[in-house]
Amino acid sequence: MTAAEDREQERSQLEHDLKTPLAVIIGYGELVGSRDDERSRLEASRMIVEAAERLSGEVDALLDRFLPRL
Amino acid sequence: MGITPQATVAVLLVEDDAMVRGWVRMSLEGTEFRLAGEASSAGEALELVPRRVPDVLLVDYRLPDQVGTEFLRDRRRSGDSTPAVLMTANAEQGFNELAREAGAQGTSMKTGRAEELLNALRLVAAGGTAFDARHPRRPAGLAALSPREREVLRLMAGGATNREIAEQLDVGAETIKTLVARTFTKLGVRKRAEAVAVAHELGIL
Repeated sequence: MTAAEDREQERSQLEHDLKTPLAVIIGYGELVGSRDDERSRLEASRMIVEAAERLSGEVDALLDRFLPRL
Repeated sequence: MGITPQATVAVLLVEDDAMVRGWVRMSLEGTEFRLAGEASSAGEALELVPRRVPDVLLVDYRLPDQVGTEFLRDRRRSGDSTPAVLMTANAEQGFNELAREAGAQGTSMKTGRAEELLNALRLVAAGGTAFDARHPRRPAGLAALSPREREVLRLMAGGATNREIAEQLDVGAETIKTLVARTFTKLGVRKRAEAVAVAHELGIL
């Protein structure tokens, strides 16, 4: 595999890892606003927090990799 | 409040991410769709599909044991014609073409917008197609490979020489030369190793 292909694949994986929890946050955020039953709203809120925590972990890993603390 | 439609269209979800599965499950609630089953890998789905007999397959592209396009290609080879929508988190160049070649009727990006997913499922369940226009088109040279060219590529990836490929496919050496050249042109490469690498990246192999 060429360096350009390697880079493209790495970028695609990174994009996937960041966008998936973001999509989950957007998705459950939409559902919180549109559902009136308590069970769904609670479940959606819980998943938003879980996805945000996962995203935070991804951002930390990204920062450590590209801009590690001195 | 409107009348809740009857959930009559059975969707089988193949997705390894539990959060995404939960979101899809909740997004289908109160619609005409019901989840006929959930699988977290292609292997699991393989066992589930014949037992649940879904109306639509909703398949993630990046599965832990197989890419979604190859899973679908295998389903089509085994005679399963259940309409299918392939999901990705990213806009990927050539993804719609790849999905079409694998036998999908639609693609949907995992943006978190339930209406986008439901619209794709509705179109496909009704016998139509729904390919997400946000996936950039495949560059002109990367045209679809024929089944024969795909077979040549598979043997090439296994390290076979032109002569060995000719023997295995029971065709002449000149035919193989032509097939190899045509495959290279379509993939936009000049060497065997490049062809195999590009094919892997596109999920052809």
